Amino acid sequence: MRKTAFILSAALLLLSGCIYPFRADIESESFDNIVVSGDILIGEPTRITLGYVYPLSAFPSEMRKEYPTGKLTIENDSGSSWKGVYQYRGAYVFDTSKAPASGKYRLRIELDDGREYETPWTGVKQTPVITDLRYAGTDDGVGLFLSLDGADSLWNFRWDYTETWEYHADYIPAFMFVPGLPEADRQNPSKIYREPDPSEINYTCWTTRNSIEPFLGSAEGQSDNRLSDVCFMTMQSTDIRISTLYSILLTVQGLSSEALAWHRHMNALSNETGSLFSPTPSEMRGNVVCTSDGTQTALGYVDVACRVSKRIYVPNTFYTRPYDPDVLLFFPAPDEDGNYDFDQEFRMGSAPVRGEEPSLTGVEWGPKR
Amino acid sequence: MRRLIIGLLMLAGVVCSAQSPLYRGRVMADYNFPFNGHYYWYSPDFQPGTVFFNGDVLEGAMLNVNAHTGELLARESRFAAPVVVPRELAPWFEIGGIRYVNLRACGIPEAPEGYFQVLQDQRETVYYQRVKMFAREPGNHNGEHGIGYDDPNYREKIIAYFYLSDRYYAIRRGTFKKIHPGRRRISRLQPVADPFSGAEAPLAPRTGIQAPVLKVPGARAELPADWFSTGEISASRRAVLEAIEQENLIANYRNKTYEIGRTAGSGGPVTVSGTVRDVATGETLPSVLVSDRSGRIYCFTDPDGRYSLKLPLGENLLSFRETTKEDMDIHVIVRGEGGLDIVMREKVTALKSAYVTANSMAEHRRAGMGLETINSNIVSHIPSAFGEGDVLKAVLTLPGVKSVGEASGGFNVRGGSSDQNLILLNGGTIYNPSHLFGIFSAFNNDVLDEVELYKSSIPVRYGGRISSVLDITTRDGSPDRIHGSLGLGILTSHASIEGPIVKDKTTFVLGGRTTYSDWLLRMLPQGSGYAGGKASFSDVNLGVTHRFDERNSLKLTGYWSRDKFSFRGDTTFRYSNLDVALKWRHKLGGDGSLEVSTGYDQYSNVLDRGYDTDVTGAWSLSTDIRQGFLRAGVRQRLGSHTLSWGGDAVFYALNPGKLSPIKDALVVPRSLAPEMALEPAVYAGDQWQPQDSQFSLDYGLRLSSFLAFAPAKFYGGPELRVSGKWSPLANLSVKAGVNTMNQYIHLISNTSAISPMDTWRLSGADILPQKGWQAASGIYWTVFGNELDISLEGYYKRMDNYLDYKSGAVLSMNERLADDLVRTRGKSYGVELMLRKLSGRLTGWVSYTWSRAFLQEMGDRGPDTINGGNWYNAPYDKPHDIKLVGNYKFTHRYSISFNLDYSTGRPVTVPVGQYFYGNALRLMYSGRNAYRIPDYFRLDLAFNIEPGHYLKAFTHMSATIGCYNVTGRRNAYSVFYNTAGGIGVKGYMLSVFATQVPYLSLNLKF
Repeated sequence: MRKTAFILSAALLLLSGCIYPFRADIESESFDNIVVSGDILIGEPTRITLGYVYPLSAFPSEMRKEYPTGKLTIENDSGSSWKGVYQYRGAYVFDTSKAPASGKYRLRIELDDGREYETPWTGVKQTPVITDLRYAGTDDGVGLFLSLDGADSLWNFRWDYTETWEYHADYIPAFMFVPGLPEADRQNPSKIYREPDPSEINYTCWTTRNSIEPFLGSAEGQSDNRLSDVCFMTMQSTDIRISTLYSILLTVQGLSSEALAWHRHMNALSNETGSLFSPTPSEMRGNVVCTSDGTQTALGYVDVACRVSKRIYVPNTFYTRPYDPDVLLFFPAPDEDGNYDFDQEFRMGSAPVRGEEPSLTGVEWGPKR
Repeated sequence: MRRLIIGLLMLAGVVCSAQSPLYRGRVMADYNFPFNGHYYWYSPDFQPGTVFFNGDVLEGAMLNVNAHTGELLARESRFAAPVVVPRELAPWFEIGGIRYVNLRACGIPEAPEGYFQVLQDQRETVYYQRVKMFAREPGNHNGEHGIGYDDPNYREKIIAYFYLSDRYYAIRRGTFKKIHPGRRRISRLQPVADPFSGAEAPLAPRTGIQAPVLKVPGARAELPADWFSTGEISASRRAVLEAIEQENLIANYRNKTYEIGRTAGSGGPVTVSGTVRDVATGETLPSVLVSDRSGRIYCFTDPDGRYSLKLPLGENLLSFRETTKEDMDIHVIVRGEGGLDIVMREKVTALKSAYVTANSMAEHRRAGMGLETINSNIVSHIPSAFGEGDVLKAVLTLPGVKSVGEASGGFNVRGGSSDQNLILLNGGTIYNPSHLFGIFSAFNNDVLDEVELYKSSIPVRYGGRISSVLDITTRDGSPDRIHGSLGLGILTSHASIEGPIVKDKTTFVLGGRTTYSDWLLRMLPQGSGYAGGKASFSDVNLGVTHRFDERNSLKLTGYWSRDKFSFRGDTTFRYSNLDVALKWRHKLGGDGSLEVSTGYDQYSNVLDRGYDTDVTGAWSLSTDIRQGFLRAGVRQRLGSHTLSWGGDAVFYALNPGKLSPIKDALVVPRSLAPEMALEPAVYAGDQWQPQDSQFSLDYGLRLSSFLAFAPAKFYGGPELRVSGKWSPLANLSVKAGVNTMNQYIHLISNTSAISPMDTWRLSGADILPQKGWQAASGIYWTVFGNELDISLEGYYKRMDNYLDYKSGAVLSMNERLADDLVRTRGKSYGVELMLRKLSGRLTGWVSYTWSRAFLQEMGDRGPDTINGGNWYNAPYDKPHDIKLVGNYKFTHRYSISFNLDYSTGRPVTVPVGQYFYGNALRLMYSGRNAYRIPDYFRLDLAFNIEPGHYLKAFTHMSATIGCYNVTGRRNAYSVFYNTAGGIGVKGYMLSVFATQVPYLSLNLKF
């Protein structure tokens, strides 16, 4: 419904309206709310992260300097408990790999400044079944499709992913450039170029990236609790991720209706406000309650779940190279005096790529990768 | 004062000016009747010139020529009135290097009266006289009943104007005769340098032709005996006299005295009654203010155009005032009870001033306050976004009426939410008054008669909403002949037709609108994802009126509208309004009337999602409201009391939500339990207007009740309506009033504007009725001879049980909806200052409103309580609001309209903090409505071309060229933020009309 509102108003906007950058004159406020992110995971280590709320003017780098610290404990209603071990950047890790899937759990937080928080006792959500995770070609690339089964009693799902892709450099460099030579050597090809060491040739590269926002799906309102062929990601045919080999590790967990509503609200607050028919934004409290001070609020929703994951690989069948790398190559040009300033080219992001032998004019340069 | 200044200036001229005798003539008589064009030779501007006056050459005089009378006019200064210089005293003069000669005085006695220019070409000398002819264009003459028709001297309004007649003369074979040179020859004619010296014209050396030498008359020894008298009308101005006489004929009925009643009785006041009709169409005219000379005895005509006044015996003056009709004042001698039927004429010109004058006078008669009246003429003159005359946009130009932003359906009156306005179309309730996302209102201006907005003193016959009542009525069809109209705009077109079905008995009016906005969507770039979108709407109005006899009439009205828009191929939204009503009016014995109406209203909407893209999850969601109503009301005049009483009942059947799968989707069909309820009410009220008293009082009580079925729940309570007026002067009134209201139906929304996704719910076990009261007072002053109307109104308003929503509320298909809602109380207060210019070339109004509107959650939900339980700004709280609406008439046909709107930006909830949640950057929002979007400013201009005044013409074309948002200001509708993929927070401003929106609309009436 919310999405519909967004679509309608986006269309109206396109009729005659426009969106412009805007800087509001917002008073700089200081916040003492803490942020608790992460779920209690059964059957694998749990990672709970604490954080602060910062003014809008803060840069992301500033927001990674300070974190709340304290004692974090996960408790089971049978009396067991797991203590969190501080890792870094506000993250605490709990070894809940062998925690029982029965019973109820809660998170307790005792901050060093004396504030205490806890979540309500929450049962472990049932583990969903990934009935299918596949890729398929689309009009302009490839799409990833997910089918889920909520088993007995699960109707709401959340999935996150970690994607890794292999890709290759456009060129294997013939020579390496030696920057910062004395003035006398800067026009000497045998000084400015050297043979590359095999360890310096990074032809094959990999990149790994985690999903930013959780993907949410719900079968509520349907006759059965299955999701069929939900296309949750598309990659264009020119996307470098599918240039060689792409892999995605999908992790799915069940959600309660409350947790689903909270996550949806959070997604909407970040991405879907301001259009003509958008709901007026409002802060929605999670399930972390401050027990030491009724006026304090914490942001976050800590659910308890067993996750299931599945990995697939996507070959480069769908990949179309967007350009010919050779068109980017060039021979550095001399200045008015006939001198070459290779240092300048290097600083500008180029490097030697191809050439029979080191020479001032016979080596092609291209963009550094 | 002006005459005094003129006099002083003239006196000063005698002392210090060489031309002083020139200005001692009689002042030019006014053409004191309206006409088009002007009567000057070239232009109305006076220019310095030289005049041979009484034997002296006077230089530097400010001169002009009245080409209608052929007289020289002189003016000592721009403040002085022009004086007429007798031709016999001024045989020639020169203006702008052109010499004008009185040929009769200069040796050509057979020449016509007046001045001539002496021209020459290769052939001969030509005497050129420019004459402005006076003409009149008579209108229709209908042989109907009523004053204005029966009077043998009466003639329909006559349009007067001057037109140009160029005349050329030459002396051929010794005879001074009129010639008819062609256009090419005229272009070659050159002025003779000096017709008195025999000097050659510039062309003369080549032709050898010499101009005849004119004789210069000698100086007169004495000025005429009457030279220093002023204000006389020259006997030679027969045409002017004729025109003035004509005007007298037009005004004749005003000068005549009518006797009412045959018996020369004595004693107390007697009843004078009658019917007021439109002169052209014969339609009866409701809401005409009829008052006596004192202004203290008055009434308004009822829906059948009937009026009834208790007048004292003897001479009196009856005034008839209506928004679009010319003011009428009838001299009467009341000798006993009797009737007087009146016909009123359409105010062809100065529509706005007519509207405001009538409104202004009515304001001093009514005890109630906060009533704004708008008719379709006003609506069509207010510039709007795409040139479509729009009732709701016109309503928004009134003080105390606001909206959350452009292109938003609904409006907010004095701090009330948009669902607290009862919008009635011929008695039927309209739940969604917008087309195309709110760009257009749902009402076709072609068929509208009058729109009344009650902001404060809501009459006792209305109930069901706690903020305001917008009562819209459509016209009766013309009983005379078939009329119609066609209109073309950029996005929409509309048409209407009306006329008699059975002559003088049954009439109809039919109007429709449709849009062709798809072309705009097709222009969107393919990559936008909306290029395949469609948006359309249409609506139809039908009205049939049958008059059984003088006492009984029946009116059937119907309204149907449909909106549909779809985007990206997988989402379609449809909604429709349907209203049918039947109204019977019956005139009771004595001075009373009965009105009974019944009808059926339906509002339904359907949202289809995912039918092309989501095989398992595609669904269709529908909601609707159906209601039937029955109303009966009696209005009876008893002495100084006008009593009204009656009752009404509304039966609601509401489907709050029905979800069904599309095609083979796995969505389980689901319906929320339908809601049904009955809302009966009875009421009684009295307008007490003591004879010859400065005070009057409106008071009444309405007992409203509400019975919800399944589960059964009963609510009810009295609603008090009281307002009083004190008029120490005929043009000054002070008023105060209180009213209380209950509301049993609620719009469930978490958006600021009325959106297509909103649903309505009835009060029940979980949702309590909204209750509100308002106290208001005001002072109304009409000054400068009814030209300027000043009003100042203040109000304080409270309400309880207004529904707001909890954070994260799910409002559709929610079986436990009440759990996601919170009850709030509201308070609002404000002051509205308004100045209206009532007549003249420039008419319009300017208003300033200062107001506040707050909400506060009722109850305590701990830390979840909205804004900690403190008062917070309502979404439509805009403290400062300035509105300027005007119309400047250049001529009777051409005018320019302008509309200026400034207001404080509306409150919004904005992010004030940010934090990481998992890998995502998230935003933390301020307290609800704690910040504001930038202030709003907009200026609209429109140039209007009205139809010509040829009343016999079959068709009348009018056109409007305008521009919405002339300054192109990027007004913010809302501001919003997103986290741009987790790398930082970016703020944006959404502007609906971010640039100038020019438009052209054409309207044809026949």
